[in-house]
Amino acid sequence: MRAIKWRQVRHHWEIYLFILPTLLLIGIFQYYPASSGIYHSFFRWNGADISEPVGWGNYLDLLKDQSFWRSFRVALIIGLWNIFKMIPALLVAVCIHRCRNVKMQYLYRALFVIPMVIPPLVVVLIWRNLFFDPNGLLNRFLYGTGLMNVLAWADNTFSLGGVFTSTQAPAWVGSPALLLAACIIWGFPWVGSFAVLTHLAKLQGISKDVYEAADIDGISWWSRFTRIELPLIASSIYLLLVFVIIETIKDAGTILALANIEGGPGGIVTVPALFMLRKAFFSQEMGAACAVGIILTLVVLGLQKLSTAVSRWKELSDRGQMTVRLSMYIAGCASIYFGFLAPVGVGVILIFLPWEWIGKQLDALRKPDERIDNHKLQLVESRIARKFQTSTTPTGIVMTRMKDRALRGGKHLAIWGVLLFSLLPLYLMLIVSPKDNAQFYRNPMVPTAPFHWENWEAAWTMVTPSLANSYFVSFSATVLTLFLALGAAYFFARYRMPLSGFLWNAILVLMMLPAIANLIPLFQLLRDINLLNTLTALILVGTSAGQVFAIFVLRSFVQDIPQDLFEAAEIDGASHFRQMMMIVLPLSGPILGTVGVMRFIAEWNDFVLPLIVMRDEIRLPVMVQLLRLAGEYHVLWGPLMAGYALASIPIIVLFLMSMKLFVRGLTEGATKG
Amino acid sequence: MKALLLKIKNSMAAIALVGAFLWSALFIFTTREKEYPPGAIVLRIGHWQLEPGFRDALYEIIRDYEALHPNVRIVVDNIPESIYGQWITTQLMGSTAPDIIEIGMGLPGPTWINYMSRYFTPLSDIAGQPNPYNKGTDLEGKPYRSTFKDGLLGGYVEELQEVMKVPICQHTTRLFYNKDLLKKLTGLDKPPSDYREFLAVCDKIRAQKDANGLSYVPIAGYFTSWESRLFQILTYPAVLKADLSRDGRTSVDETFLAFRAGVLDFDFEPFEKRMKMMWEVSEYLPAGYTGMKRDEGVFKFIQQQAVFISTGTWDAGSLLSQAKGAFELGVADYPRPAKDDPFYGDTLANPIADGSAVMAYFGVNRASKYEDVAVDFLLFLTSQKINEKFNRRVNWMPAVVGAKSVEFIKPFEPNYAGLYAGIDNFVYMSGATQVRWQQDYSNFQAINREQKDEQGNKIPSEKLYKEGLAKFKKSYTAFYLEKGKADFDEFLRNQRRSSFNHDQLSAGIRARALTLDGADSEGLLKKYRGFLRGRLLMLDYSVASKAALAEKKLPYVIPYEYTPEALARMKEDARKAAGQPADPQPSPADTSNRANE
Repeated sequence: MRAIKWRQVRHHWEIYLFILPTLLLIGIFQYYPASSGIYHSFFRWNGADISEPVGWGNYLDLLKDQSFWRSFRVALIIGLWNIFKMIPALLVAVCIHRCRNVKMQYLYRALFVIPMVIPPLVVVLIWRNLFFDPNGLLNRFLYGTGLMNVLAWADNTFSLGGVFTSTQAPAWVGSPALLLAACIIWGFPWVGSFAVLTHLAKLQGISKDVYEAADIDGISWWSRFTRIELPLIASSIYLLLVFVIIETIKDAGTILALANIEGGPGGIVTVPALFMLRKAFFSQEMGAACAVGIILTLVVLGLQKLSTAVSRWKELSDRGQMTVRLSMYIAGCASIYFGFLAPVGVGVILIFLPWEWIGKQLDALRKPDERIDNHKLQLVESRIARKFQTSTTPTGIVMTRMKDRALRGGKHLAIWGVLLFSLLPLYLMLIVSPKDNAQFYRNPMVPTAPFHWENWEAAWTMVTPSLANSYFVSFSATVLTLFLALGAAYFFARYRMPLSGFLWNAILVLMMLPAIANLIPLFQLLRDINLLNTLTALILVGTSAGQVFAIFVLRSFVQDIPQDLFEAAEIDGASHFRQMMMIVLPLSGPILGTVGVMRFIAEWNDFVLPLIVMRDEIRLPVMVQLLRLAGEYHVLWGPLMAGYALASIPIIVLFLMSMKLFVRGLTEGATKG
Repeated sequence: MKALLLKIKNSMAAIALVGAFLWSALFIFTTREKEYPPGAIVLRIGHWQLEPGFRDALYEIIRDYEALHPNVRIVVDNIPESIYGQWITTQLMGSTAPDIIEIGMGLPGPTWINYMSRYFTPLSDIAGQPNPYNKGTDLEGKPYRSTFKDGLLGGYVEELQEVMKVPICQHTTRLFYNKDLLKKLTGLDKPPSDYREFLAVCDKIRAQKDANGLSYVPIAGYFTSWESRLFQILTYPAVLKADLSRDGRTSVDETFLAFRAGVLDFDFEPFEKRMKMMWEVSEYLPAGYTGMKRDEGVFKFIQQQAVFISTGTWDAGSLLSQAKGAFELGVADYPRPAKDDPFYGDTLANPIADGSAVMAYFGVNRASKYEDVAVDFLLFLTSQKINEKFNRRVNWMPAVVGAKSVEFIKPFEPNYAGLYAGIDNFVYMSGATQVRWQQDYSNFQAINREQKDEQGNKIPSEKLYKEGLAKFKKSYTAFYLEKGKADFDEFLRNQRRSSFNHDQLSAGIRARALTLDGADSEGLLKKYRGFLRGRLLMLDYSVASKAALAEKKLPYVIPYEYTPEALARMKEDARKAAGQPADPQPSPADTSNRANE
């Protein structure tokens, strides 16, 4: 990339115009609230007329507050499970990738996409109401399959506290012993659309030669996964890991929907973001809530730095490794000393011990035994020879084919099994939607006549305004995001302009900033500029929030466009604007499609900000409207489920229409970072 | 042609996306046009009453009002109770709150008082004037406050010395039961009125299994009514120790002061009794009931998974319509312990009063552009005829004198005589202590009663109760006393801040008095002096004395407890006032009896 010096800026000044709108937007809606949050964190502030300086008082109170630290422990447990929950998506992606039949591959992809893009809030509400109820589907399944007896036996044998008994149905969201489990279980089998498609895109990038070479070597299906596929998609796994960490820290919506603002009995599932919301909107301690937001940001930044250091451990210098180790020892010791998250502290210290060095020292203590075990060598050779021999005899061929078919059958069986569970919320939505309450109580799982199609009509009346609002906001924010981010990406990718390094880092920092941490100052800002209760607020904030990721992805893409094209255009006298229109835009269709779809879904599913800034029913986005409908004292299940289905359909259609483009975009670079 | 078709096919997705966008834009802008006709006064009402029928009734009244005032449009914000607290906080802070706001849900009591002082218009002025919409009724010309069944006492906020809100209905709570299921499982036609017998019936119900082999649940979720109608009454002796203002009830700050002075603690017998009764009754609720929402409790009852549910008249109409054709609905009062009950008999053997039972309070947003119209609508809604129409439509009891309720709701008419509730709002001071109370208290309630010891034997319920209660006391008391002090200080600061609003109001009255002559001026000056006295004697004194008590600069004198000398003095004063001759000195035994009285 060509570097432009200060004295050359006058020839290229217009390129700054490409970044200017982005800077303005993130300056107003990201940096200002963040700065205001920092400022107000030093005040006893009620968000309105009381603002008295307290110095570090809010931070000290938080440090002393055990429930605040407990919330991090909950986040840690949920976060670890969230990392575990990445596995099904990976396995599904591998299974789909290994389908030899292209049509089957496409069918699976399409079928998986449908349930996966159902808004998470809808899935949470379905799980809360239909699965976690003591008489709900989860308990019915456990009793029906006899698993409850197994759990009761385990409870009895291992003294789990009498949570599971064969005579009383467990209350998943009412029992302190099970609430955390409920927060983890919901959404089973946890196959996220973005994760599957990202992995698929990476897997499709693996050259066929690699597989052919592996086949010649007679590599097993498991080794193919561990030796070829896993290492080659490690970058996308890392990317998703960072997302999972950030999402876990900033997520409050799921817990709010499952366990209310108290975080369940004993506040057992209070996560830091929920703790912050409680401080802000229940105790009216806005200053303290801002302090929580600042701490959350620092934690996310620290975790991101740590995950980068760990993923590039071998590339780190000895000094760098020592610094990371020392920091971890200090953090671990501090947590043990203060008694907060002590087991985690011990774990951290153990993980960061110099195991390699310890191993070497232990090896040095052993006697060197350099004799080659000829017997073992012969055994290995004879095993390889046998393998090749059996595969050439008729029985061997039959056996190999049978094994192959069994593997393939198992693979399809596994896919269909996961698919069945994934489709369950959608199935329930569609099955319950034409029922009246009496039919639903009697038999929620199978269709029952007469069908009350008027429920759909009622749902349409209820959610049409909010569907229109959501679509308008999501579409506008997506288009604006793409338009501005492409310009900004061009700015960063085309030349190394003065200040571009600083600006790039300033934008990257925002990626780690949990949006929820800025919620209160952002609310104040929107109030001050008279944008509360307007769709414009949602569009502008959504656009500014989407900038960072979009720029991050698009910049890599623009950088990969051959420089010759730009140089040829420059020789022809094309301005930067013309280069954008004639070169960048035509080439970036798939990548814009990918980023656009992701942004659209994020906007569509967002409900924490609209819940706080929107008032009028006629202006509500669909997610908030669904949350309100679910809060009725007398729930009419048919229209409610029809409403859920209506809220999901636009996203399903969008995804199905753009899936090819989306996967192409992912393959071409969306997951490069 | 083929190329064109291909191009169209390839562009289908984009066309669909843009088409949908155009539809959404068109829909939004045309709806806006319909919503706000030019020149209209748009009034908003925010509430959480999402019971079936409420909204229809409200819309009907709104239509009537709009017909009377064609330039007014009233829009309703229906907010679920689960998010009402956060919603109203943000709306008030953002100056986007509705003009008329329902008060009381989702936030601690002190926070609502704080909000009322900051964001709501005092209605004291209109309380003394007649409601113009009562014209032609027997309430015509009567002061507005006298048109309410409780004399608008519930709308008066002592801490602010103002009428801040008006109720629109009356609610009582009762025990609803499934007659068919009760008969089938116990052979009884109605539940016993005796507490112990009731628990025995619950045992009998629980011992039986449904078609799936699961035990029947005696009482469906939704515990709140049990708390307020039964358990809290046991804590009435605590009121006698904490009611510093001697108004017959304790506010959260008074309770805190009594705890801080060491006069009250959770070892106090009435609290222990309250907790014990809670433990006994909660045994018969479904597992995990603390995590259940109100609608989930009702859902369970309607599904015939439980025999009883305790709820209010707000659910009565809905329960009746949902039970129709499925089972017969019965209504009973709460079971009470017998007079000879060894544990509760001395306290709860008497009838339990419903109090004035007026509810669903609405106030007017001070930032409203159309404050006078908002007040006018409230007057309309609480006029005799309209309040009757509204409550008959929703099957509730009217809050206005002379307004008649539907026949079906008559058995729920409040019982004014009997025992009143004890310590209000449980034991917390404000936001953080309320959250902690809810957490610790629900944790205590959620103790699994099926636990087994190391030998595999079921741990006795009594043992679990004692351990749980000890844990609760230990966890909550320290937090309450420590964090409660900070919340208490903030509470007092907020009360002091509200005196600023009070001063503004009284200065306005004085200014108006000075510009007028004669009787008008006299009347206003009298009112001004009343305000000033209220401010100096009640607000300033009350805040200062409470602050001194909290800092332990003043000794805590337990109310309703008098020395023999003081009692004698009071008696003597009373005699003198009645013009009776002096009585010989009473004996100490006599005075103690009087004190108990």
